[in-house]
Amino acid sequence: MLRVNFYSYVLLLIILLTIASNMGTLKSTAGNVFTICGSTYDTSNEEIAYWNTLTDEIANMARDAGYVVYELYGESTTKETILEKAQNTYIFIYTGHGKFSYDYYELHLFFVDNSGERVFDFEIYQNSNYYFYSLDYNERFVFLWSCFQAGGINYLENHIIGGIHDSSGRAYGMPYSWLYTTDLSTDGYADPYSEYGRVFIGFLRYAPIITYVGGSINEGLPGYNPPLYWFVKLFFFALLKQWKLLDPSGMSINEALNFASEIVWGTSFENTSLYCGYIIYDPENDAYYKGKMVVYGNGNYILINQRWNQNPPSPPPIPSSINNYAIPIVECYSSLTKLKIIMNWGVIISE
Amino acid sequence: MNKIKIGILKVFSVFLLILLVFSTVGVCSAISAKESTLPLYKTYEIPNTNVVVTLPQVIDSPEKLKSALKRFLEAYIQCVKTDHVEDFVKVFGDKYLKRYYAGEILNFTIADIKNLNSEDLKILLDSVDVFSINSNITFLEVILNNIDDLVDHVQKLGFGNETIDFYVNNDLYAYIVMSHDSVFFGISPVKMYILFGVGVTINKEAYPPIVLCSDRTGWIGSRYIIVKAVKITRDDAIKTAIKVVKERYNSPEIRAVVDNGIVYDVKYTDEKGRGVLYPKYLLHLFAKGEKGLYLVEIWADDGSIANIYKTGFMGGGYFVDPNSDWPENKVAVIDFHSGEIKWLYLRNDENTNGVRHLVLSVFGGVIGTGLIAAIVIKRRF
Repeated sequence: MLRVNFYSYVLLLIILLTIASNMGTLKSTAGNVFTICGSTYDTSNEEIAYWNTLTDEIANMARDAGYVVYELYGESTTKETILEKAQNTYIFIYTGHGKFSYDYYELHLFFVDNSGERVFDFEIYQNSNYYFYSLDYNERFVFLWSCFQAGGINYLENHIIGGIHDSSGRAYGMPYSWLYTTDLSTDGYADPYSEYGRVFIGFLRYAPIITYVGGSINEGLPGYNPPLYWFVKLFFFALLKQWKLLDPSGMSINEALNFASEIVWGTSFENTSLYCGYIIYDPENDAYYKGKMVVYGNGNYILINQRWNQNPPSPPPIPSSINNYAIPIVECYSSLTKLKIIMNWGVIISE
Repeated sequence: MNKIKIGILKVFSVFLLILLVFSTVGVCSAISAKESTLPLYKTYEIPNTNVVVTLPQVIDSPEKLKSALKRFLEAYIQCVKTDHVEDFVKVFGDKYLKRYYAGEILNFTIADIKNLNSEDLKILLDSVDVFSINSNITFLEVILNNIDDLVDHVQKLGFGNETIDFYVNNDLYAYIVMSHDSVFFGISPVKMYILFGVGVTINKEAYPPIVLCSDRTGWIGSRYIIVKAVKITRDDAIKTAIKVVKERYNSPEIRAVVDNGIVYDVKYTDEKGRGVLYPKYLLHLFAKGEKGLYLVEIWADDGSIANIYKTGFMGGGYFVDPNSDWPENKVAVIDFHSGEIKWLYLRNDENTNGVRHLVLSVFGGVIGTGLIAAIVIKRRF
């Protein structure tokens, strides 16, 4: 009698877990979404061709790594889509033109959608709110290959994480708008820290177009040119694809930057002109300026799907919702049913 | 009275004694203080060898940098010659070299890679190449012989100033990244991918203050052949670049060119599978009223086009003529490294062709007339 009761409880537990997990799955989708956007507005055909290839390659790597991928480069990169993705994306990649504006009588950063329409920081902030507060996620990685998205207005080292303008109450700054926190290191590469697992990669001042080489941005290893194209590709290769073969202990954002830099330029990221500041000739002002790639937040962060079978250096809290891909698959046997049950954090995916 | 005198003398002698004691203590303290400000050195022993390297604990001057780099390189060359590179890396390798040689990264088996596609496999094998040490002693000795010049260049930049620069002489190219507390030297025989990397901590204590970041100098001759064949002048390369950009991109009006210098790249692969590196001009062309720039790479040996892109910056500006009466046949050529601006006058092809046609016509006419006259005269007489 007792034995029957015990098995009944076990069965009941499994049923409850299944129901709860399915509910969780609906909610957890956003925690696994990988979005790649890119604007072709005012962009050369060569540049479009390279980004078409690159976004396709990154999307495939992300799919293989178990993410739900939205590949939206080109016409699908509309303002509406970008704002929608701010609500429900874990990883967001964008390429296209960006700048700053005082149109609202206060500083705002923007980048453009495929038609050239501006997508402002405060608009993104309003939508990120849903991801962090309604869906209750803590982690996000954002990679914006676009001018001024990390700051650099007036002078190079003008880091703009952002915050709320007192006068209008509007949010400003792309890192703050995407990551919903100001608790971010302004040099997440050399001094990595952030609230939870939130990382932003962007540019101070001008971001070079992917086919750019010259000045202090050197040619890459033969076979790895244009160097910036290969740098981005190898960064995601290290982060998403063969990370277990490159570094079985786990591949953080910083380590992926190092691997990409070592192969392309023969030195770790800290010695590249991307990190130290590249010198560019700006024809508009007939002057030389510097641009710089920056990591804000915790550069030691390891993406969710790349840390399921090992201990990350400093794991951020797991989102309260259940993520199909974040949690290891567990095998167990039911002595009652004699069936092998493979559970993915409670979700029975095979019997 | 005498007693008073004796008393005073006694007090005075005691005072002198105390003074002597204190001054001795003071001198000793001063000496020890002076000793503590003297340059301090630390000796590093390379395991399994008799190689020792003595380096300053703080490299805070170009002179110390010179001597430290020389000692470091001499020890490294000795370890390469005696096949103790791994032992050297244990002491002087940077984080990634140490991890690679400790088997912590890029440590996969054939079974791990047998199902990879060709591109993934190439990237992984290249990664192993990049992290492995592969030395060419002859070139390492060239670097050693150029340490003084290299450090003099660092001194010229301002020791400890934040800068990125290049050092080039006939035998050596160096990519130098300097901050207030570090200098990185990325060295190659010509301007190309970095083959030898050394990181130096300056102005603060470090143990060790110099680390080996990479040594791929052995690729010279085994993986790459370098052909120094600059036969085309810079001006001719610029004229060719302007011509091809006009042909390909709807005749933009090129007003300025930034000359990034000569870089080396693989032009073809030889029968042994080695990349044959040739020099090429790397030029940025700016057109009036246009956003972005045209990147043109022209092989310096034969003037053919290596690459051409319309590129620039994701938000960069338009080229604005600083001078509205700038003649159309004049282009500003800016040397990226020196900042020097020169003017290049472009030949007006149509006019020149017209003049050439006129000269040829007159010359041909004269010769033709002369020939006819000669024939007529010959027949008459």
